[in-house]
Amino acid sequence: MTERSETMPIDCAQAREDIDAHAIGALDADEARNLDAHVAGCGECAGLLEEARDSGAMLGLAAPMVSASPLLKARIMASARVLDEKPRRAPMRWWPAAAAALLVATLGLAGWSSYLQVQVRDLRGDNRAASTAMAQTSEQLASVRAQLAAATEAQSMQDALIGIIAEPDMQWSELSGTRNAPTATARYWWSAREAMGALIATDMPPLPADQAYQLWFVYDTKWESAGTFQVDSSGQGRLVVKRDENGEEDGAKLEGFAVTVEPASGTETRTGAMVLASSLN
Amino acid sequence: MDYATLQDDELMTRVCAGEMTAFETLYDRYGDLVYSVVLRVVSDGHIAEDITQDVFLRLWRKPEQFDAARGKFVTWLLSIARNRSIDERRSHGRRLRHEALPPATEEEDILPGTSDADDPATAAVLSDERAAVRQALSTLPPEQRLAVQLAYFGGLTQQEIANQLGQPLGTVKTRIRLAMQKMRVALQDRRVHDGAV
Repeated sequence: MTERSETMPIDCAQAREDIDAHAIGALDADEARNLDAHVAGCGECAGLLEEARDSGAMLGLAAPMVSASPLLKARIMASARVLDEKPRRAPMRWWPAAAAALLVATLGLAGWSSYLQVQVRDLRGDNRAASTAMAQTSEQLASVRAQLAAATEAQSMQDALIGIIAEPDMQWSELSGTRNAPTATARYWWSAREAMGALIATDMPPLPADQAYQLWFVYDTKWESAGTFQVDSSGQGRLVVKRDENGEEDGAKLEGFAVTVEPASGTETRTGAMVLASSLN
Repeated sequence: MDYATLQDDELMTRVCAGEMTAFETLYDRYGDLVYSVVLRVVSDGHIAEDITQDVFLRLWRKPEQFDAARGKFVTWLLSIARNRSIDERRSHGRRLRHEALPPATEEEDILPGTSDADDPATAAVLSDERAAVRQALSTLPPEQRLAVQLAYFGGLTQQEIANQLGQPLGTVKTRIRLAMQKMRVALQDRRVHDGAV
């Protein structure tokens, strides 16, 4: 891999020779970096570059006009409506409310904790009662933290899905339950451009605490782990996968996806029973 | 309310508030223009549609990135469309129709016969502004016009243009600089005289 070059300081005269070319993207990477470094510290040249960019952008108006397909508009509007349900409305309904509720709960518990601390100081003879109350408070705080973590995970999944769905190279695959979990289903969405994937599984059987579900990318010559996930009390599990999946890795061809039961920390090679599987064919 | 009568900035304010009708109005106003610019760069209808979709969905997802104080909406939108197209052309060049660098010939010159190449159904979009840009381009010597177009629509650097044209790098740099200066002056003169753009 090539090391990123250091910037070379240039003066205003040199910068102004390059500003017009930069405005239409005609500088090579090193020249562009040097100019960007200069304008970052020179207001006058930055203003000239802004002006040149305005003129440069107008060049697009010279392109011969071609009508886009009406289907393209329909596709864009439909996609925008799908996005509209997620980033704008859904979070407005539950996320701020949940966050506010958690904040109130946290503040309430913090206040309660302070109160108990005062009580402990004042009532030295009643240590046992105060300790019990503190322990309860800690448990409640742990519960709030767990809820907050779950909300954060849900938000992370939502953000991932929004990013993936917006990409034109978005793909998805259905995973069906095997005989080990016949009613379980899942869907995996991914985008190579976004370098991200997202799995949502439903009707998954509960697992003991020392086990987890593990998602695998199944290539023709190997299985590659994509991470582990737990399921909630309703049997739903979610996993965000941050990797660039373009159907091939080191010459191996992606054939499908699978979910197996593995130790909670995950494994490098599959050891447990398969509960979900899909095929790209 | 008749959204079609609203200015771009006003529509963008409404897009920020999540108004789908405002977004649709902006698409109706500029969808063909964005598609045309992208198509000119990538030379592939399917890829041009994907990029156009990408540009508008990004506008819908992050409308706050437009700052009316920093310039006109259409130049901001065209910058996004052009940069996104050039990225595609550079990163997936082999998938595009031009498998090698674009030919550095008069074929790249979009001015001759441009009005004939327009789809009549969309020719009215920004017709005054487009006429002004073409007029400004038409006043340039052909070699300057070609250098600018190879950079803007072809995504070539000055060095690549010099290689393609078999000209010294310094000559290409001078052509681009002079062309852009003349363009800027011509467009500014028009603003002063017409109060337009």
